[in-house]
Amino acid sequence: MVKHIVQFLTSLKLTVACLAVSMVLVFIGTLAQVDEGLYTAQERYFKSFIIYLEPAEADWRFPVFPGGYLVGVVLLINLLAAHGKRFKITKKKLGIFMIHAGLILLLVGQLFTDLLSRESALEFEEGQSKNYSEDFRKNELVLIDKSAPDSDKIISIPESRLRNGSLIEDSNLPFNIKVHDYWSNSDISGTEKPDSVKTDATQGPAKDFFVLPMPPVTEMNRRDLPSAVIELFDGDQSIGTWLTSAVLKPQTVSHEGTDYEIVLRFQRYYEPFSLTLLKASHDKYKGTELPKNFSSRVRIQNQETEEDREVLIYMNHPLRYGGLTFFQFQMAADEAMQRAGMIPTSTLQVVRNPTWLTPYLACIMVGLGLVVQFMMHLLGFLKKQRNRPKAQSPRSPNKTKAGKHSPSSEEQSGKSTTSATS
Amino acid sequence: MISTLMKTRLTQLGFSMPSSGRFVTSAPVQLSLAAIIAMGLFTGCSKEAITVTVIPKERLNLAYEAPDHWTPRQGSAMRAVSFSIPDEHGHNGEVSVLPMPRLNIDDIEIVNLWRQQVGLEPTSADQVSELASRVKIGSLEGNLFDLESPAQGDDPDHNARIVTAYLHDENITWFFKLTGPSHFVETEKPAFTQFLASVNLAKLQQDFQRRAAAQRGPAPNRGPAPSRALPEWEVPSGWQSGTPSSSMLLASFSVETQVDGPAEVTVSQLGNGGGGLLLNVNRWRGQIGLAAIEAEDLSNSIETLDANGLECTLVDLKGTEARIVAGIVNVGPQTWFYKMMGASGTIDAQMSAFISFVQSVKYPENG
Repeated sequence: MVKHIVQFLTSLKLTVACLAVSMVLVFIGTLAQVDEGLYTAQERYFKSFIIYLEPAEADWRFPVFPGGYLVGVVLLINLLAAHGKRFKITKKKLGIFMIHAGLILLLVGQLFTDLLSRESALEFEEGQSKNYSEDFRKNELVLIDKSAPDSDKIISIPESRLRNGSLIEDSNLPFNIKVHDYWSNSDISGTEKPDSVKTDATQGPAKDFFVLPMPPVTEMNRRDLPSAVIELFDGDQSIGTWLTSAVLKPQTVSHEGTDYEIVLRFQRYYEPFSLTLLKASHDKYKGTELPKNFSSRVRIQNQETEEDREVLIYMNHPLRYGGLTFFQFQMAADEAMQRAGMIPTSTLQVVRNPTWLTPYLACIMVGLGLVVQFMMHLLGFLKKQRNRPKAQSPRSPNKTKAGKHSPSSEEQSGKSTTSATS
Repeated sequence: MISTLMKTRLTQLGFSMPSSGRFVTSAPVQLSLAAIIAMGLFTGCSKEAITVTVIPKERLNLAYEAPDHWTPRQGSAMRAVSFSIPDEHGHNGEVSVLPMPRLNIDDIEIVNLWRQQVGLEPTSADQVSELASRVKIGSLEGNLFDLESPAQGDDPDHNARIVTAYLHDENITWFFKLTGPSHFVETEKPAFTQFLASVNLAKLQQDFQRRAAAQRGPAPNRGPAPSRALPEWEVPSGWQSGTPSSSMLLASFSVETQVDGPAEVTVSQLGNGGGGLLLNVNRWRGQIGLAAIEAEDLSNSIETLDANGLECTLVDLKGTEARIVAGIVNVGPQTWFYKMMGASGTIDAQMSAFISFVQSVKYPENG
């Protein structure tokens, strides 16, 4: 049994099958980006173990094809198992081993980057302080208890829990939430429009509003604005039904003497420190409208470490702080904007990537492996040259080069190329 | 260790190990198994959890933080902000903030001006640096001077005293001044220093400019006073109604999208054509950094459309970053101006909503 498994995992057929499947996957995943957009297609075809067939109106799904992660994992196992079976670490093959290990690290690192990294945006105007960034894609339904004098308690329900008809119960929630309707992308209107939906909301300022369901956005510079109709329950007792939407402001719900703000918003990631935008600068080349530099002077305040300092973030000079990297992303600080009476704003891209070092390590390993392999061949070649019998010297040098030694050195270099790229 | 455990477990499960046993127990295979388990954990089928976070209350973006006992005064045309500070003896101190277009004068001239105010002799340039101390003004640093008049009466506490700070920002020289009787200034000095540190210059400047614009009042040649009755209209979704920043404006809406920066829609109504199309277009062009145009070039940036049976002139002006789209509707003797100004992308996204808004207006009978 184990023998069969090992045979299967180490077989070259599996490698070929995986490569063939990945070719098909890249093909359909690329085509799907036209309709589904880059982000959705990546999530569905490449950042998944299984690709499911999910008809729009159905509440079932059917697995149809292996996803990118599955193919990657099987390939990785295949590579590792084959190495375990066929490859012996010898001094001679140390370089090749390092190259392969580097490649494996690169693959694994990329997988973990996909799984663990997070990108969000921090947009603030001059003078504003923020201790959170907002996700580019994800949303959350939050209940905010503002009753404490110095702090707010935020209960966050991930958007993935908002499904038509689902009931959300949790010990952290002050009440149970039933989701009547959920639209992943929508607009809200005060008047009825073609295709707009009248909701069954009974409470809040938005109870008479209409929801206009919209298809998911496919452009990278736009995002979906979800809406949901939710009914709140105290045990079995209904408190009321609200329409919440990413385009609506927070609404207040009173329950047992506590006011909660309820809002569907872009998912926020809070940090234990705050950043204040001191100055957003949009420099231009003198006498032209060509942008020269975008920079944000930012103040970091961390109460835990009692840190309070200023930093300048500009293009190619991100701030690395608290396990996050802050890149200068967007800016609205043009003179014309300021003349129009708008406060300059700056947006930083906030990246959390705990595995950011793996590509560097992998490249170092591959590089070292190549150097080791090359040096061993070079040293071997030089040794051979030195040990060449003196008897050969009377021959004509031209003849020697062209006739005898050249093929052997070509063979050497040919060998080394094959080894390095295998 | 792990390999021994695995061997034992596999044997317990009835698997016979191959004689070499090398493949199953070798490090790469163990690594693969560990990777599968790790991946299972990371991408498990469990629902995403509901989380609770407690965060400090959000700080508002204020222009400054002043002590409670400072009473804000009606801002004058020159001052960005000013306070009177009464004490129990009826003495009054004053704090004022004065923004001036960036001055190209030496520090000595500024200091001597103040010295003159409190009756001190002018000083020399060398002494200025000795008299100055550095102070934090918002995120920047400025010079602070503490000047007291020579003793005039029996009570030195009543000598006039000025604590003043200034700094040169990009385009503005900011003056901050605390004046009053000596003892009083002494008491208020720490609060003044805290006030200086709390100042948000960008916000202060913006508030000042807005107020100054509002105080400048309506444009000349405006004809009969407009009627202030608001017509009926349909406000597009996503527009937030705000307080008009000027007495000239009837309504204002802020528009925010995820596409680009914010934009603002304002509505105003003027008599006599509000000065004419060319004058207004050139005024708007100036606001977004475009050069003025001549009357014959007007047609390039305007088009007309129907608004509830009335003719609406639509002007579209694109600056480098900001953009203005304005609708002008003549109703009887009155001219209505609808102006959307802000980030170009937002205006693109809101164009149809803006036109629907202008078309939705039902004017009162007298226009």
